[in-house]
Amino acid sequence: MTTVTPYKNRIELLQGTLDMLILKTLQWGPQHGYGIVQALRLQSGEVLQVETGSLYPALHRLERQGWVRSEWKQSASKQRARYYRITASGKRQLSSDLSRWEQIVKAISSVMHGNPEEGEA
Amino acid sequence: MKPLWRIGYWRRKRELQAEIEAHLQMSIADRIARGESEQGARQAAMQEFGNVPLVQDVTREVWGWIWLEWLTQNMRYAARRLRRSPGFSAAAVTIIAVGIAVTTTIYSIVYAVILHPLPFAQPNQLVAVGAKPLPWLSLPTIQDWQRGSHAFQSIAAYGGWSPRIESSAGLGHVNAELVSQNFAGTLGLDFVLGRDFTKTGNESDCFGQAIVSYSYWQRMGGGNTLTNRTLQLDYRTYAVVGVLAPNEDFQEMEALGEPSILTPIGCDPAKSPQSRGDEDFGAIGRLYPGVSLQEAAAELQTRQRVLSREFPQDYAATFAPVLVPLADYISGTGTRSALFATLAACGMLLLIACANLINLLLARNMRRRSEFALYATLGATPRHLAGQMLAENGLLSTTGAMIGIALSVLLVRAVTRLSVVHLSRLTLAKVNLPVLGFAGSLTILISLLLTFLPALRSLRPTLLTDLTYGGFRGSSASFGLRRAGRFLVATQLAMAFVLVASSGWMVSSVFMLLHQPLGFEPDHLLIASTDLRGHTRNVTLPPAKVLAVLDQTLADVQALPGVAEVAAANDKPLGGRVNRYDFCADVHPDDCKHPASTAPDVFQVTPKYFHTVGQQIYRGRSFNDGDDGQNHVAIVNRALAAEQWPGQNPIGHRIYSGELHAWATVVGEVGDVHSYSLERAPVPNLYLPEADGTDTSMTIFVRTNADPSQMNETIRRILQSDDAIELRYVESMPELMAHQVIVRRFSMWVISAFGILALALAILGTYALLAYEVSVREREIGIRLALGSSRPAIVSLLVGQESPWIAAGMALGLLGAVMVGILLRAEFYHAKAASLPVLLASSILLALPALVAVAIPSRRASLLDPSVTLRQE
Repeated sequence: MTTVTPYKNRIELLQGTLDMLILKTLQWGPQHGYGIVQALRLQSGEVLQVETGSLYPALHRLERQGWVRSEWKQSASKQRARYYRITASGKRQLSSDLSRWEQIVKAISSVMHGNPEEGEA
Repeated sequence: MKPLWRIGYWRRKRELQAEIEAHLQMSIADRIARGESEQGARQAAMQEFGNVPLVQDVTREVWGWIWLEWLTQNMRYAARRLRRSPGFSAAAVTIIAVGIAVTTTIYSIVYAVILHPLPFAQPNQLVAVGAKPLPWLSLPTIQDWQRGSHAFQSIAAYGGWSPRIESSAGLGHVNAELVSQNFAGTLGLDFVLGRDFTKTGNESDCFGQAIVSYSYWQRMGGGNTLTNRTLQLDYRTYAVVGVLAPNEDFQEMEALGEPSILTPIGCDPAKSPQSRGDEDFGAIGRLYPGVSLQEAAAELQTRQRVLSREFPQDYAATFAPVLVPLADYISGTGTRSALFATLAACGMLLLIACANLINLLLARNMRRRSEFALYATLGATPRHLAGQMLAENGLLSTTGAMIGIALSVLLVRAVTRLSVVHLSRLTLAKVNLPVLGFAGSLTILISLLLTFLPALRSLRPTLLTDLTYGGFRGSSASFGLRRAGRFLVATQLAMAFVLVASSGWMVSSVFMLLHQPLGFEPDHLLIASTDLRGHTRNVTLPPAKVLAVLDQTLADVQALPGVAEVAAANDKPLGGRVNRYDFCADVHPDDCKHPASTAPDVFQVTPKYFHTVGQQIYRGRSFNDGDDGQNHVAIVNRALAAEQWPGQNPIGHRIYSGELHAWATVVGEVGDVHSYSLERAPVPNLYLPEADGTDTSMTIFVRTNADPSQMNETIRRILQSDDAIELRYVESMPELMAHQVIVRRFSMWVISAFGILALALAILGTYALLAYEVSVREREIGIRLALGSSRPAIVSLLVGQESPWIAAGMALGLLGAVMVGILLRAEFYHAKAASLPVLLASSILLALPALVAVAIPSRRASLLDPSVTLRQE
């Protein structure tokens, strides 16, 4: 029997991280979807290529949560686009996401490198 | 769905499209700026972005609105699928439409007659106040119960009469109600004009006053002023003092006399009938908020114990108050249970129809297995498939329901217009909001049933086999389906059995009621109810004059051609009236000190009465012209003789009757008759000569040689032209009997119709299942035949496989029928006697067609040509 892999699963895998990355990008100023993709690519040194199928659901979900707000504006190149802006609660969310992320990174790297924190000190 | 939401939804959908378009444009612009060709830039941007509709889909899913799209999509697809199999769709829609139409119609009747709240203020506080052993109360009793009560705010008395009325609406008869002054107040009736009766306590203040219903006021010409508006009731003039607010329900309540006019019983308590023994009135009480029926009953019992001690002469030893919620009293317990039984039968019919449909769907889904398998390979989850099926079945049942509701509107109109049966408030039945709600919930339930029962079986695709074999040829693959189908057929047979047995009981009840020995001969018997005082209603008419009028009338009728015999009595058999006086026999003279309720019912009859009605004279003699009231004589029926002088010959014994205020000698013993109704068994009766204590309200009995319906008009004309008497009505005894079984006969027809439908559906279901099975197993049967199996062996194989299921269904049905028989024994008159024959007949009625339904496809299978069936694949 063929197993069907819904598109959604890949989004869920990235979800927490992607939300955090988007919020971080928006901290530098309001941005549209295309701009967020470009910013993430540049900032990550061409490593992170965010898929649109993940980006737009994530943006709409963040808006539903009230962490970002959107408005239609003209870009510098006269293109009308939807700009997302981070809200105050979005900023709080970002900092809590960030501290959790740092914990995870620390935990994972200590496992991977085999030297617990205390030993290092 | 609110259109606003949809507008929001479509706006957001457009915005998302614009957002993605902007994304692509910016990407293209960047690429062109980097030096790519416009064509290449566009392609690369599209490639980088990915699948646009998919991105839209997953994004919209975040909004939580995606189901809306699924719904429209599924519906469109479902409509297309159903159009492609018009035969199946038409059959399914018809079955659902008929089921919904019948159920909705019955429910709307149940709602109007039983469930609809009474049209009075705070109807839950209202109770019907009565008594046992007889339901009526005297005014002093009602007043004593009411005075200083902590349970009742008020208790109102009422008693119906149907006087001759003359008003600006014309001349005729009308239902009027004698009421206590607090009647309108107790019920909480509103006035559009005028006022309630005054409560000054002066008789003159309310003398000759009447309150009329709104509809009668309209017939009187309506208007906004009461000045000089009068009407005449029985030649007495009443001023109209108030007009009730329109209240259709109130005038539909048979239990309250369906009144158009209210007149006061009396305004001066000192002048109103004071005898505690005159138990003439019904009563309605309004409880204080929060007082329960039990608390109120307990209070009345305590009060009545005091009253019974105080007035031992006026109350029977068994006299006790009885309280019933007014709503129950008005709908009547018999009507209630009959209607609920009908509704249950209806529901059962609907279930059978659904089971049939499910069978059809199972077979259909089996054929569609390759289709489902294809969807599954294309990525549809079971949830999607279930959604798709739900959309199809929802569409089917909604279409069916809409047709069904339209049909039920017509049916309800027919039932209320044709007044096939007289029920309180029946004419108010209509397809209103609660009824529509009921039909809507039924529709949803049907869609769910139709989707999930077959889905349990057929939505788990075993892909490989389904794709390769095209789904429905392999007989082993459909084993589960066949088991489900047989189970459904067994269930249908069981439910059909219950319905057929119930209708058998209904039919036998009505038959027994009409054909039981009644103690008299109802055929060729006409009855005419008369008032010997004539139109003047002179109460002071001397008995001798009354007797002369009666003799003359009887002689006139006797002289008519076609009349065999004529007699009169002050009440008729099956009449339902109670005439009780103090009574005792010579062996127990102390009984005379006890009140009337243990006494026999008294009938005053003319000499030829027993012979005319065909009542058997068991011992002694009938009355004759010599019994002129001077020699007090009496005749007892066998029940009374057995009660007073068990094992003895009653002739020569003496009895005392309060009607005669004297002792009389028993000269004859006659057979028992059903004096109250067809359903109530005979009770002790005492017969006295009409000449001894003359009654002015007499029923004339005419035994005719010819068909009584032809004599009806002649006798009506003769009696109406006689100015000395007033004719109330002429009716033949069979007509009166038919009238008494009218509600039963109605439920009998309804339930029999259900029974026949259920039988047909169950047999059809059995047939369809086996026909389908044979079509699936053609190959297998072909192989069997090719290997040398005989044709009878094929038939017996198939019949043998189905029989256990049919037998199981019948056994289940038998069990259900017995349970229903026990539950509804009150509905089925003498059902015990009919139990076995009915159950046997139902079994045969079901088993034979079921076997035929199995045998026909089996025989067809045995006639298959193996050389053809085997080559088909």
